[in-house]
Amino acid sequence: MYRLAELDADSAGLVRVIDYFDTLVRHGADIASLLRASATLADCVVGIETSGKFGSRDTRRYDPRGQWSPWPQRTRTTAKEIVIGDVVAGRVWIERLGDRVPLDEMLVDRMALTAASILQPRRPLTDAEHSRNLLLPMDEFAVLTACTALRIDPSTCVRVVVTKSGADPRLSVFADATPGRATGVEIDGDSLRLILDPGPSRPISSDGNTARLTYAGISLASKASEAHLVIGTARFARDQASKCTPVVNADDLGALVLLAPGPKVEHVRVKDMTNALGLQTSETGVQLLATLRVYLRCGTLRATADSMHLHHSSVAHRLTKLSDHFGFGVDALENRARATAMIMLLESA
Amino acid sequence: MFLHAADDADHNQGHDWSMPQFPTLDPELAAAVTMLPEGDFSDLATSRSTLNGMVDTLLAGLSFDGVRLQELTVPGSGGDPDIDLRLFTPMDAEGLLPVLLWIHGGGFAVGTAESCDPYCIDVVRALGFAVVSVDYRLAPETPFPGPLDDCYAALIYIHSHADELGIDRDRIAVGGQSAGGGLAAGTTLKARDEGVVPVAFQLLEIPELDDRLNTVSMTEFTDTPLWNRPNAIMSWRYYLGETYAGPEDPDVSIYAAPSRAVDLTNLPPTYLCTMELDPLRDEGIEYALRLLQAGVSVELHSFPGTFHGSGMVATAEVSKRCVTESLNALKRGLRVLAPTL
Repeated sequence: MYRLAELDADSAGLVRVIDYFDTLVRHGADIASLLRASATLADCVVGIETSGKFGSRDTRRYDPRGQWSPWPQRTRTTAKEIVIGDVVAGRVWIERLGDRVPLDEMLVDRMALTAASILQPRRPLTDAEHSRNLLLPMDEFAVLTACTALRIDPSTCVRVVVTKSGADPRLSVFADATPGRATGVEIDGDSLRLILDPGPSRPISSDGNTARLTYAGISLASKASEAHLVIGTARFARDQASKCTPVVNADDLGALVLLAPGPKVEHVRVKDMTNALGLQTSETGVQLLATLRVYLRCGTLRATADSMHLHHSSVAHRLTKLSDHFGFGVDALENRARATAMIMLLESA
Repeated sequence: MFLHAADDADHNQGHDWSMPQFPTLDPELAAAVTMLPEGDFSDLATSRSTLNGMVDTLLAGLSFDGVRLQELTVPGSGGDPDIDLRLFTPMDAEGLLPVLLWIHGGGFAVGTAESCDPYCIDVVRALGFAVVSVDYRLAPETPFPGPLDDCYAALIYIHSHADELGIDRDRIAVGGQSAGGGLAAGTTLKARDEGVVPVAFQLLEIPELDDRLNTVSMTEFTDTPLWNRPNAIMSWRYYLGETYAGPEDPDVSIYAAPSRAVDLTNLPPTYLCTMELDPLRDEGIEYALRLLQAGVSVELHSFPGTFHGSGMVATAEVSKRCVTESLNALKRGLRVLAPTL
């Protein structure tokens, strides 16, 4: 059968453990079922102690061979309190012989949460509540719980779309763009929606109806489990929208997006920065970046050439090479801010 | 495991995610489903290796305390290859023992006798009698009648060598699970018709009996855990071979598909169990009913919240009930003087 020790100790393994216990709750498990199922997965003795009336304690233990109250009683190798509201209602634990399994803590954590749900049943969270928890998580476990409930693989590549609350941007995306059971979420006057990243071959754009004038921002791509880290880039992109460009993709802002307020965005998420870092690994690349740095400071080909004691055609050639490398015209006026942001961030890194 | 795209129809209609797909599933079994590997019965090589991997885990550290295992090789029927048998007996056996001829499952195409070692050992310890587990040839490499003939040859051997094996030839039970249950039913029918071996009891667990695939459960259960209609279709095609014309084929033997047998009289007392979310459920129940109507003594139980093969979740309360009841039925069927379980 299945064993906790055989699961990978990564997000995929964590999600499977979460799903295992969530399924127990959805199917109406009682404490005895919880213990039997926990022992089977853990492949060791599990136990629960709950507070009874008049301060008494009710202790139950079960082993994976199907025996209640197995003897001898061993050390509780991993334990967790059962908390209902602000009250400690009991404790769960496992008694593992030998080496600990990496997922032991997650298993016991889930045992405790499940026990709490059984002892005091709560209304199951809705898809909207899970979606909100995914975008505004308290911790990593909350993210994985939300992913599990929404049937989204944590590694799924997604983007966050931000508009003003009540607006409908009518984005041009292909069908089935919503991952799992995610729904739209309202946060601080903004509407946030998770979409599957269509990849570079299918760029997201507005439907072209500028009369609608609904401004939207699309975040950088991220794993579903990290979507909360890129919301700021979607808001920043939306704030750059205009009548001419009602939908702005953070990708198109390049390094500028790293100046967005909110949680710090890792440079590796931005293609401009990874491309720039790639150039720094070679002498030629370093030379090219130096040329761009001077050009942005000087403003013209001739001034750059004079500063660097080069022919202006050499400068132009270098800038062309850089433009090819970065995928945008580094010397174009409309990209001046983007290129400058990239150089400044590179220097400060 | 995860859907990358929303099930838009359900989602747009306000699907209640708190409502699971199979809401009547027992909680422990529902949780187990989340851990079961994905299977593709059309890829037999992978199915066999996946199953064997799971079995290896099950057999690791298996204790044989108090149980003696003899590995026998016995002649096949006619010119068929020899057959491997695993004979389990109590270490402290006295006198002639009742015996269960146990036939493993696996859709006629996967599985081994060794995979049933834990079950066989449990039966010997609980009831104190012998179990013979037969390693029959698998389809599609060996289609019907090969696997059935192997099981029947094992039965003949047990009966004809009963004294030598320490077995009571008047207390031979034939049993099996899933395709093994179908093979057990077919073997028992053949034993009745050949008149050589008096089978004393029939133990049919979630038997695969009917290639016609026209019951309500077989029609509706297209995506139930572990076994479903698509798997059943493939299973019968593997078993019945290249000449099989499909469910409308009039030439399917009753030993291959026992549900096709019209005459179920003079068959031994039977225990038959079915699982709720199992496409095989209704053909099992119908077979039990027809046995009763033919004058056969039958105990029938359909277990709630279960799926085909959910007994592998041995710690689940409903699985334990199923095992206990099955052993009690076997005990009564073979008049074994073991303590009530």
